[in-house]
Amino acid sequence: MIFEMKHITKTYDTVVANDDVSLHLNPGEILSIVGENGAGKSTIMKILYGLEKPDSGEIIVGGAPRHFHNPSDAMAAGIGMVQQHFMLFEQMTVAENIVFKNELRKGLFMDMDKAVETVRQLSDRYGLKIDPKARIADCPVGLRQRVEILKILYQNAEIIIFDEPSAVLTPLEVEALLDTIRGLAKAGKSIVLITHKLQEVMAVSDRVYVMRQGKVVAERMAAETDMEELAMLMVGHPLASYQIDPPVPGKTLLETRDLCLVENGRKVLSDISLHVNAGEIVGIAGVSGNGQSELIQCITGLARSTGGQVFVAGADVTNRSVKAIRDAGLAHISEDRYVWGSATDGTLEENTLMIRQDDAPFSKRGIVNHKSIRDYAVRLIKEFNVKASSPVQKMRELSGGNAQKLIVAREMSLDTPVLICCEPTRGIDIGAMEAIHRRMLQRRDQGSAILLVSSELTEIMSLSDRIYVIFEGKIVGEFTRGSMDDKHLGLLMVGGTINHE
Amino acid sequence: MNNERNWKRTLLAAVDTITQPLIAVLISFLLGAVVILVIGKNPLLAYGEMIRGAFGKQVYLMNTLKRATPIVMGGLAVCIAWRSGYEAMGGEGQMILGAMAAALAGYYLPLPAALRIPAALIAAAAVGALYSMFSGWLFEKFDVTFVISTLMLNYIANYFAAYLCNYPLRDPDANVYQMQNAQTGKLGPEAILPPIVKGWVHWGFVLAIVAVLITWFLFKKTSFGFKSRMGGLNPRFALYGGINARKMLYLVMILSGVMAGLGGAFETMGSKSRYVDQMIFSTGYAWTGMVAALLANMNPIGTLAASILLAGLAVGGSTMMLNMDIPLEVCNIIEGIITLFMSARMIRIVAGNHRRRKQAKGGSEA
Repeated sequence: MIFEMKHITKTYDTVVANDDVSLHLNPGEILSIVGENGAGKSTIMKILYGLEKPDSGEIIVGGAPRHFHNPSDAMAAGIGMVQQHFMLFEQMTVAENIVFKNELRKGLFMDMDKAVETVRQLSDRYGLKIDPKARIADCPVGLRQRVEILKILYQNAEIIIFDEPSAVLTPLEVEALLDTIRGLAKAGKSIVLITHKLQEVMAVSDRVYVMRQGKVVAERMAAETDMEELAMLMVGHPLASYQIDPPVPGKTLLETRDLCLVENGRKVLSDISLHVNAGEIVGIAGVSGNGQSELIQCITGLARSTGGQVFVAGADVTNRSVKAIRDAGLAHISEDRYVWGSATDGTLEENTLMIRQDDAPFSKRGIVNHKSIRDYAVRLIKEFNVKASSPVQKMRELSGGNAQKLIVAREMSLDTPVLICCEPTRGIDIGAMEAIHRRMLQRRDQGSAILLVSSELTEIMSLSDRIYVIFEGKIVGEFTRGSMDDKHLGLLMVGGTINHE
Repeated sequence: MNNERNWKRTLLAAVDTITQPLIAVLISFLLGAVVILVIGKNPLLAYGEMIRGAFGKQVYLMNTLKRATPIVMGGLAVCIAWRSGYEAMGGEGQMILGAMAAALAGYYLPLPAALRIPAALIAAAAVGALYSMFSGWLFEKFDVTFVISTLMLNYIANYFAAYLCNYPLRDPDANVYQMQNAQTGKLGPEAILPPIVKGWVHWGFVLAIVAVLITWFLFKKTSFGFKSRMGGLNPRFALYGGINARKMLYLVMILSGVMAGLGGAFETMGSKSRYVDQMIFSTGYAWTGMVAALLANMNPIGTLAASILLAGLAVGGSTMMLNMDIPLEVCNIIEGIITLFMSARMIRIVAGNHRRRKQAKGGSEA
């Protein structure tokens, strides 16, 4: 064993990110850690790399227990990590970036020729082709990642951790990366690959750990498992705990036709056509980062689509302003309650006023009516059981669940025909989660069209009347309640295809 | 959730925001006292003299209020822009051009006496607004940071005004042999803001108080105030809530520029009766205004109080110097330390805005 982590536990505030996690890595092995976003796989590797400190547990590297206080400590012990976000100097050359912090010197000056030569040798030895004199600014993403890898090799790392390395790459670059990983293992390095893309796992790894909700739930040899089993293990089983009546079919209230989004030449959304009818909850299932956020941003006016159309309650609102789209009859519980959904330094009443700031009775001809604003905030706080002490306290003083309830209260009280719920219950306790779910079901029964985006498959499966599966910006499957099969769903979510026997 | 609790909360919040600047001022005066001790004078007497020199006699008090007038206006310009998350520092440039515009409009426009003053004020407000909008436009179109664009525009304004009053628009009656700064022609009495009552401060101070009240009203009582505050607190939230960011940017920059431009006009029309080269630049009114706004945590009424305090420090300092033979630099030290403390606050605000905007941008691109 080249390293071993024993009984690692790590909590952030109230969230348990790692719960008694134990794992090890053998020399020359390619180990994958898979799991949904938030399963704790990045956290455990950040602990190994010295970026986070565990609350308890032990790390053993090369036979001796270690305490890493920062990445330099980990690097000194032979552990390197290729992060999702590269840390390179744009204006400097490949060679300069690689030798940074460990420059070769000639007297007082940096020995550039020797640096270039060293990089060339490294690149030959590991088969990582690169021009040492190229400027980073001119390198595509795939090459930048290669520079990161060389940087780690230059520091003599024996263990290389890749954190979601393919997230930013094009399919061709992914192929090259997988070759690189195989090559590194052949050259004797030990590799840890953190990912949620199962094809890559099956393509390169020797062994796989599956994590879910902070725990290691399974360990498999890659040869003895398949994508379907891993997908099942990753997403777990749905809980169907709500009494849901069959949907009453109504007219279409939200529709997208061939919606496309191209960003920096990359297709983020490809021809998304979906519709949500009155009295229906439609779920979008998918692993985070497959275009869900962008889809919702294009629908709600936060981003401009590059093709296709969006209709809200029959009106074409394609690329209209946020206000125009909301006025057409749409409310939107944002995916991140602090980034988009609230002003943490604002008061509760300011946060409940948002969106209605120009409506009577809250303001008339631009002059606000403080009493009606306060009454409204107090009403929402009561109606939605938000635990708060005062409408003038700051949003940041509320717990996550209560902050979310306040946002849900604001959006649901707009009483719009279309309601978009993005990750409506992310990171909140069960009580608040059920309260929000019941509100959604209630709105459905009253005839609203609800679009639900969630990375929690259980949430999607228990609430949705219909489900679209999204993968790499494309709708790859559609199910109705009853015809759903969590195994197939899970498989589609990670880019697999269903074999119809 | 009764009203009494809400009141308490508001009060506590107010105390909380006021403590920090109060401590800053206190420490500055304490350090000032140490310097006075080192010189070998009694700091208590010195400060007594300073307070008397700033507020003790009608003529002193009026002097202080006169000095406070452009400072308040510069402070309001900062309050308006910064509360919305735009850390514009162009008050100085806008004030210079406003002062110049008022001097020219008041001197050259062939208008009946009754229209001279309004015309000059409108000219100053318009020029200030346009100049401020320009940095807003640079920000919107080319992503030029406000700190950079406004600071550079300040120099352009100052040198442009210097050119105007040195060459094409130089006071024709000026004695070329006299050792004095270049200046434009002296305004006639119909273009001058007269004292409220003989021996009192000029009407510009009253207008500044009106501007403070208007700003306070905008912040507290209008949906514009709400929108600009939300844009400042979280630009992504504002976008998500359907607030038109572009409209808010220009409205805010115009309003901020109007305040600074009028501040320049008040100085020209109430105090100097003309544009004198460097009259805004060398006195640092706009910067003192920024310190006042920071001391008051962007509260307009607090800014008025802080401006009077800072003006009093300068005015009272001269009396202290004359009567106790303490160098004026002591006052500079005190103001310098206050500024230093407030810069810490400023850097935090600027860095916070920068981070939020970067995030907001990432969000719409992601």
